[in-house]
Amino acid sequence: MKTKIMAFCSSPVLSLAFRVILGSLFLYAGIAKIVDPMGFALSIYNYKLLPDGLINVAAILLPWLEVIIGGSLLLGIGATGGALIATALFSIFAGALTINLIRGLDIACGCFSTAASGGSINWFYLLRDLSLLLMSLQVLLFDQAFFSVTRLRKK
Amino acid sequence: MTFQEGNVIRRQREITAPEEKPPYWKEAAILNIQTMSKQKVFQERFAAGVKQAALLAIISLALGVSFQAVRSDKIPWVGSWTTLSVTTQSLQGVADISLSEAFALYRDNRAFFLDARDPWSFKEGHLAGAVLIEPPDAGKQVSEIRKRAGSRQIIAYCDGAECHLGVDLAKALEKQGISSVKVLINGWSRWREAGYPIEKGNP
Repeated sequence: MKTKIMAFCSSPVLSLAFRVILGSLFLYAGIAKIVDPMGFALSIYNYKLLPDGLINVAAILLPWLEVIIGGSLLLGIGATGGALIATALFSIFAGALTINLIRGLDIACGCFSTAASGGSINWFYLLRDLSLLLMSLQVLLFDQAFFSVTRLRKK
Repeated sequence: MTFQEGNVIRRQREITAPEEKPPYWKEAAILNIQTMSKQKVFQERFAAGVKQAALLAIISLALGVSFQAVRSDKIPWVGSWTTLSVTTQSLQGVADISLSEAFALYRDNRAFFLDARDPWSFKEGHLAGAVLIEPPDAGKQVSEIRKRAGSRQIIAYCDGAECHLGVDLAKALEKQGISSVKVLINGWSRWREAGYPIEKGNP
Protein backbone atom coordinates (compact mmCIF):
# COMPACT_ATOMS: atom_id res chain seq x y z
CA MET A 1 0.00 0.00 0.00
CA LYS A 2 2.71 2.38 1.04
CA THR A 3 4.72 1.74 -2.09
CA LYS A 4 1.58 2.22 -4.18
CA ILE A 5 0.99 5.63 -2.67
CA MET A 6 4.65 6.45 -3.13
CA ALA A 7 4.53 5.35 -6.77
CA PHE A 8 1.43 7.45 -7.35
CA CYS A 9 2.91 10.52 -5.72
CA SER A 10 6.08 10.23 -7.73
CA SER A 11 4.27 9.36 -10.95
CA PRO A 12 5.53 11.23 -13.98
CA VAL A 13 1.98 11.35 -15.33
CA LEU A 14 0.95 13.27 -12.24
CA SER A 15 3.88 15.59 -12.90
CA LEU A 16 2.59 16.21 -16.38
CA ALA A 17 -0.87 17.08 -15.06
CA PHE A 18 0.62 19.42 -12.46
CA ARG A 19 2.84 21.03 -15.07
CA VAL A 20 -0.17 21.79 -17.23
CA ILE A 21 -2.16 23.19 -14.29
CA LEU A 22 0.69 25.28 -12.90
CA GLY A 23 1.84 26.42 -16.33
CA SER A 24 -1.60 27.65 -17.35
CA LEU A 25 -2.14 29.38 -14.02
CA PHE A 26 1.19 31.17 -14.18
CA LEU A 27 0.61 32.29 -17.76
CA TYR A 28 -2.82 33.61 -16.87
CA ALA A 29 -1.70 35.34 -13.69
CA GLY A 30 1.39 36.82 -15.31
CA ILE A 31 -0.44 38.26 -18.30
CA ALA A 32 -3.17 39.76 -16.11
CA LYS A 33 -0.46 41.56 -14.14
CA ILE A 34 1.54 42.71 -17.15
CA VAL A 35 -1.61 44.36 -18.49
CA ASP A 36 -2.11 46.36 -15.29
CA PRO A 37 1.24 47.11 -13.59
CA MET A 38 -0.22 49.93 -11.49
CA GLY A 39 -2.93 47.71 -10.08
CA PHE A 40 -0.42 45.01 -9.24
CA ALA A 41 1.93 47.56 -7.65
CA LEU A 42 -0.96 48.70 -5.46
CA SER A 43 -1.62 45.08 -4.47
CA ILE A 44 2.02 44.66 -3.47
CA TYR A 45 1.97 47.95 -1.60
CA ASN A 46 -1.08 46.84 0.35
CA TYR A 47 0.75 43.78 1.64
CA LYS A 48 3.08 46.20 3.48
CA LEU A 49 6.07 43.90 3.21
CA LEU A 50 8.38 45.37 0.57
CA PRO A 51 10.19 48.68 1.01
CA ASP A 52 8.63 51.44 -1.12
CA GLY A 53 11.60 51.56 -3.48
CA LEU A 54 11.15 47.93 -4.51
CA ILE A 55 7.39 47.85 -5.02
CA ASN A 56 7.41 49.01 -8.63
CA VAL A 57 10.46 46.93 -9.50
CA ALA A 58 8.65 43.84 -8.29
CA ALA A 59 5.44 44.87 -10.05
CA ILE A 60 7.31 45.28 -13.34
CA LEU A 61 9.48 42.16 -13.23
CA LEU A 62 7.57 39.52 -11.27
CA PRO A 63 4.79 39.10 -13.89
CA TRP A 64 7.40 38.30 -16.53
CA LEU A 65 8.96 35.70 -14.31
CA GLU A 66 5.50 34.16 -13.93
CA VAL A 67 4.91 34.14 -17.67
CA ILE A 68 8.31 32.60 -18.38
CA ILE A 69 8.01 29.81 -15.81
CA GLY A 70 4.43 29.28 -16.97
CA GLY A 71 5.70 28.66 -20.48
CA SER A 72 8.58 26.56 -19.15
CA LEU A 73 6.26 24.27 -17.20
CA LEU A 74 3.64 24.02 -19.91
CA LEU A 75 6.08 23.26 -22.72
CA GLY A 76 8.53 21.36 -20.56
CA ILE A 77 11.55 23.48 -21.36
CA GLY A 78 13.73 23.52 -18.30
CA ALA A 79 10.69 22.49 -16.30
CA THR A 80 12.76 21.49 -13.28
CA GLY A 81 14.06 25.04 -13.11
CA GLY A 82 10.54 26.38 -13.63
CA ALA A 83 9.28 24.20 -10.81
CA LEU A 84 12.12 25.36 -8.59
CA ILE A 85 11.18 29.01 -9.13
CA ALA A 86 7.50 28.17 -8.73
CA THR A 87 8.22 26.45 -5.42
CA ALA A 88 10.17 29.48 -4.24
CA LEU A 89 7.42 31.88 -5.35
CA PHE A 90 4.64 29.89 -3.70
CA SER A 91 6.66 29.76 -0.48
CA ILE A 92 7.11 33.53 -0.58
CA PHE A 93 3.40 34.05 -1.32
CA ALA A 94 2.50 31.71 1.54
CA GLY A 95 4.66 33.74 3.88
CA ALA A 96 3.19 37.04 2.70
CA LEU A 97 -0.36 35.73 3.01
CA THR A 98 0.23 34.27 6.46
CA ILE A 99 1.79 37.47 7.79
CA ASN A 100 -1.12 39.56 6.58
CA LEU A 101 -3.77 37.09 7.69
CA ILE A 102 -2.26 37.24 11.17
CA ARG A 103 -2.03 41.02 10.97
CA GLY A 104 -5.66 40.98 9.91
CA LEU A 105 -5.13 43.39 7.02
CA ASP A 106 -8.17 43.69 4.78
CA ILE A 107 -6.46 43.53 1.39
CA ALA A 108 -7.06 42.02 -2.01
CA CYS A 109 -5.00 38.94 -2.85
CA GLY A 110 -3.59 40.26 -6.13
CA CYS A 111 -2.91 36.65 -7.04
CA PHE A 112 -4.70 36.05 -10.31
CA SER A 113 -6.16 39.48 -10.89
CA THR A 114 -5.11 42.98 -9.99
CA ALA A 115 -8.62 44.19 -9.18
CA ALA A 116 -8.84 45.76 -5.75
CA SER A 117 -12.40 44.50 -5.50
CA GLY A 118 -11.34 40.87 -5.86
CA GLY A 119 -12.31 40.14 -2.29
CA SER A 120 -10.15 40.16 0.81
CA ILE A 121 -7.62 37.50 1.58
CA ASN A 122 -8.66 34.69 3.89
CA TRP A 123 -7.30 31.31 4.92
CA PHE A 124 -8.69 29.75 1.76
CA TYR A 125 -6.14 31.71 -0.26
CA LEU A 126 -3.37 30.29 1.87
CA LEU A 127 -4.73 26.76 1.42
CA ARG A 128 -4.88 27.27 -2.33
CA ASP A 129 -1.33 28.57 -2.34
CA LEU A 130 -0.10 25.61 -0.32
CA SER A 131 -1.78 23.12 -2.69
CA LEU A 132 -0.02 24.79 -5.59
CA LEU A 133 3.21 24.68 -3.60
CA LEU A 134 2.84 20.90 -3.22
CA MET A 135 2.18 20.55 -6.95
CA SER A 136 5.31 22.47 -7.84
CA LEU A 137 7.32 20.41 -5.37
CA GLN A 138 6.10 17.23 -7.03
CA VAL A 139 7.13 18.54 -10.43
CA LEU A 140 10.47 19.65 -9.03
CA LEU A 141 11.21 16.19 -7.61
CA PHE A 142 9.62 13.74 -10.03
CA ASP A 143 8.93 15.32 -13.41
CA GLN A 144 10.11 13.17 -16.30
CA ALA A 145 9.36 15.70 -18.99
CA PHE A 146 6.45 13.87 -20.65
CA PHE A 147 5.18 15.65 -23.73
CA SER A 148 7.90 18.20 -23.40
CA VAL A 149 9.63 20.11 -26.13
CA THR A 150 12.98 18.92 -24.79
CA ARG A 151 11.91 15.28 -25.14
CA LEU A 152 10.38 15.71 -28.58
CA ARG A 153 13.57 17.22 -29.88
CA LYS A 154 15.64 14.32 -28.56
CA LYS A 155 13.44 11.70 -30.19
CA MET B 1 15.71 -32.51 -30.27
CA THR B 2 15.99 -33.55 -26.66
CA PHE B 3 14.69 -31.46 -23.85
CA GLN B 4 18.21 -30.51 -22.81
CA GLU B 5 19.15 -29.41 -26.32
CA GLY B 6 16.06 -27.24 -26.44
CA ASN B 7 17.05 -25.65 -23.17
CA VAL B 8 20.50 -24.82 -24.47
CA ILE B 9 19.10 -23.20 -27.57
CA ARG B 10 16.64 -21.23 -25.54
CA ARG B 11 19.40 -19.97 -23.28
CA GLN B 12 21.54 -18.99 -26.24
CA ARG B 13 18.63 -17.10 -27.70
CA GLU B 14 18.21 -15.27 -24.45
CA ILE B 15 21.82 -14.24 -24.54
CA THR B 16 22.01 -13.27 -28.20
CA ALA B 17 18.55 -11.76 -28.66
CA PRO B 18 18.77 -8.01 -28.80
CA GLU B 19 17.51 -6.56 -25.56
CA GLU B 20 14.11 -5.05 -26.05
CA LYS B 21 14.22 -1.48 -24.93
CA PRO B 22 11.16 -0.28 -23.05
CA PRO B 23 9.52 2.80 -24.51
CA TYR B 24 11.08 5.98 -23.29
CA TRP B 25 8.34 6.87 -20.86
CA LYS B 26 8.40 3.45 -19.20
CA GLU B 27 12.15 3.53 -19.07
CA ALA B 28 12.02 6.82 -17.33
CA ALA B 29 9.52 5.54 -14.79
CA ILE B 30 11.55 2.40 -14.10
CA LEU B 31 14.69 4.42 -13.74
CA ASN B 32 12.85 6.77 -11.49
CA ILE B 33 11.67 4.05 -9.12
CA GLN B 34 15.00 2.25 -9.17
CA THR B 35 16.97 5.28 -8.26
CA MET B 36 14.53 7.20 -6.17
CA SER B 37 16.26 6.38 -2.97
CA LYS B 38 19.54 7.55 -4.30
CA GLN B 39 20.35 10.91 -2.97
CA LYS B 40 22.79 11.61 -5.75
CA VAL B 41 20.15 11.59 -8.47
CA PHE B 42 18.19 14.20 -6.63
CA GLN B 43 21.28 16.24 -6.07
CA GLU B 44 22.04 16.20 -9.77
CA ARG B 45 18.45 17.00 -10.56
CA PHE B 46 18.54 19.91 -8.18
CA ALA B 47 21.78 21.21 -9.64
CA ALA B 48 20.31 21.09 -13.15
CA GLY B 49 17.18 22.79 -11.82
CA VAL B 50 19.19 25.64 -10.33
CA LYS B 51 20.94 26.19 -13.65
CA GLN B 52 17.65 26.17 -15.54
CA ALA B 53 16.06 28.46 -12.98
CA ALA B 54 18.90 30.95 -13.33
CA LEU B 55 18.48 30.92 -17.10
CA LEU B 56 14.71 31.38 -16.86
CA ALA B 57 15.20 34.24 -14.42
CA ILE B 58 17.64 35.96 -16.76
CA ILE B 59 15.25 35.59 -19.69
CA SER B 60 12.37 37.07 -17.69
CA LEU B 61 14.55 39.90 -16.46
CA ALA B 62 15.58 40.70 -20.05
CA LEU B 63 11.98 40.54 -21.26
CA GLY B 64 10.70 42.63 -18.36
CA VAL B 65 13.33 45.31 -18.83
CA SER B 66 12.87 45.49 -22.61
CA PHE B 67 9.09 45.60 -22.38
CA GLN B 68 9.34 48.32 -19.74
CA ALA B 69 11.51 50.31 -22.17
CA VAL B 70 8.96 50.21 -24.99
CA ARG B 71 5.56 50.20 -23.35
CA SER B 72 3.70 53.48 -23.32
CA ASP B 73 1.57 53.02 -20.20
CA LYS B 74 4.46 52.07 -17.96
CA ILE B 75 4.92 52.85 -14.31
CA PRO B 76 8.24 54.29 -13.08
CA TRP B 77 10.84 51.89 -11.67
CA VAL B 78 10.59 53.66 -8.36
CA GLY B 79 7.16 54.96 -7.48
CA SER B 80 6.08 57.35 -4.81
CA TRP B 81 4.16 55.44 -2.18
CA THR B 82 3.11 58.14 0.22
CA THR B 83 -0.37 57.78 1.69
CA LEU B 84 -1.65 60.66 -0.41
CA SER B 85 -0.45 59.28 -3.74
CA VAL B 86 -1.79 55.84 -2.86
CA THR B 87 -5.17 57.27 -2.03
CA THR B 88 -5.26 59.25 -5.24
CA GLN B 89 -4.34 56.17 -7.25
CA SER B 90 -6.84 53.99 -5.47
CA LEU B 91 -9.60 56.49 -6.26
CA GLN B 92 -9.43 55.24 -9.84
CA GLY B 93 -10.99 58.38 -11.21
CA VAL B 94 -13.80 58.62 -8.67
CA ALA B 95 -14.14 62.08 -7.10
CA ASP B 96 -13.48 62.44 -3.40
CA ILE B 97 -14.92 64.93 -0.99
CA SER B 98 -13.20 66.57 1.95
CA LEU B 99 -14.41 65.99 5.49
CA SER B 100 -15.42 69.59 6.04
CA GLU B 101 -17.32 69.72 2.77
CA ALA B 102 -19.11 66.49 3.61
CA PHE B 103 -20.04 67.80 7.04
CA ALA B 104 -21.31 71.09 5.59
CA LEU B 105 -23.57 69.15 3.23
CA TYR B 106 -24.74 66.93 6.08
CA ARG B 107 -25.60 69.93 8.24
CA ASP B 108 -27.74 71.37 5.46
CA ASN B 109 -29.35 67.98 4.94
CA ARG B 110 -27.90 67.83 1.45
CA ALA B 111 -25.79 64.70 1.96
CA PHE B 112 -26.83 61.06 1.65
CA PHE B 113 -24.23 58.73 3.12
CA LEU B 114 -23.69 55.19 1.94
CA ASP B 115 -21.72 52.90 4.22
CA ALA B 116 -19.76 50.45 2.09
CA ARG B 117 -18.40 48.40 4.99
CA ASP B 118 -19.73 45.16 6.43
CA PRO B 119 -22.91 44.83 8.53
CA TRP B 120 -20.98 44.23 11.78
CA SER B 121 -18.97 47.42 11.50
CA PHE B 122 -22.15 49.25 10.55
CA LYS B 123 -23.94 47.94 13.61
CA GLU B 124 -21.13 49.06 15.88
CA GLY B 125 -21.38 52.59 14.57
CA HIS B 126 -21.88 54.61 11.41
CA LEU B 127 -22.37 58.14 10.21
CA ALA B 128 -25.74 59.50 11.28
CA GLY B 129 -28.34 58.72 8.67
CA ALA B 130 -26.04 56.47 6.63
CA VAL B 131 -27.40 53.47 4.76
CA LEU B 132 -25.49 50.22 4.53
CA ILE B 133 -24.82 49.15 0.95
CA GLU B 134 -22.17 46.55 0.33
CA PRO B 135 -20.60 47.10 -3.11
CA PRO B 136 -21.72 43.72 -4.54
CA ASP B 137 -25.33 44.53 -3.60
CA ALA B 138 -25.28 47.96 -5.20
CA GLY B 139 -27.01 46.79 -8.36
CA LYS B 140 -30.05 45.46 -6.52
CA GLN B 141 -30.69 48.63 -4.59
CA VAL B 142 -30.20 51.25 -7.24
CA SER B 143 -33.82 52.40 -7.42
CA GLU B 144 -34.10 52.60 -3.66
CA ILE B 145 -30.89 54.57 -3.36
CA ARG B 146 -32.09 56.94 -6.04
CA LYS B 147 -35.44 57.42 -4.30
CA ARG B 148 -33.99 57.97 -0.85
CA ALA B 149 -31.16 60.22 -1.99
CA GLY B 150 -33.40 62.55 -3.96
CA SER B 151 -31.43 65.62 -4.86
CA ARG B 152 -28.89 65.10 -2.10
CA GLN B 153 -25.21 64.46 -2.78
CA ILE B 154 -24.47 60.74 -2.46
CA ILE B 155 -21.28 60.12 -0.48
CA ALA B 156 -19.83 56.64 -0.10
CA TYR B 157 -17.38 55.85 2.65
CA CYS B 158 -15.40 53.06 4.20
CA ASP B 159 -12.86 52.95 7.01
CA GLY B 160 -9.08 53.24 6.72
CA ALA B 161 -7.14 55.21 4.14
CA GLU B 162 -6.59 52.15 2.01
CA CYS B 163 -10.06 50.67 2.12
CA HIS B 164 -11.29 50.48 -1.44
CA LEU B 165 -14.91 49.60 -0.71
CA GLY B 166 -16.10 53.20 -0.92
CA VAL B 167 -14.52 53.54 -4.35
CA ASP B 168 -15.90 50.15 -5.38
CA LEU B 169 -19.39 51.23 -4.36
CA ALA B 170 -19.13 54.53 -6.22
CA LYS B 171 -17.98 52.71 -9.33
CA ALA B 172 -20.69 50.08 -9.06
CA LEU B 173 -23.33 52.80 -8.80
CA GLU B 174 -21.80 54.65 -11.71
CA LYS B 175 -22.26 51.51 -13.78
CA GLN B 176 -25.92 51.49 -12.81
CA GLY B 177 -26.37 55.06 -13.95
CA ILE B 178 -25.91 56.93 -10.67
CA SER B 179 -22.94 59.12 -11.41
CA SER B 180 -21.53 61.96 -9.33
CA VAL B 181 -21.15 59.73 -6.28
CA LYS B 182 -18.31 61.05 -4.17
CA VAL B 183 -16.05 59.16 -1.80
CA LEU B 184 -15.16 60.26 1.70
CA ILE B 185 -11.77 58.65 2.16
CA ASN B 186 -11.28 56.94 5.53
CA GLY B 187 -14.77 58.23 6.24
CA TRP B 188 -15.76 56.44 9.43
CA SER B 189 -12.57 57.13 11.41
CA ARG B 190 -12.28 60.75 10.35
CA TRP B 191 -15.95 61.51 10.93
CA ARG B 192 -15.94 59.92 14.38
CA GLU B 193 -12.66 61.55 15.40
CA ALA B 194 -14.01 64.93 14.35
CA GLY B 195 -16.87 64.38 16.78
CA TYR B 196 -19.60 64.58 14.16
CA PRO B 197 -22.93 62.81 14.72
CA ILE B 198 -22.88 59.04 14.60
CA GLU B 199 -25.43 56.31 15.18
CA LYS B 200 -25.41 52.70 16.28
CA GLY B 201 -27.70 49.87 15.38
CA ASN B 202 -28.87 47.50 12.73
CA PRO B 203 -29.07 48.48 9.09
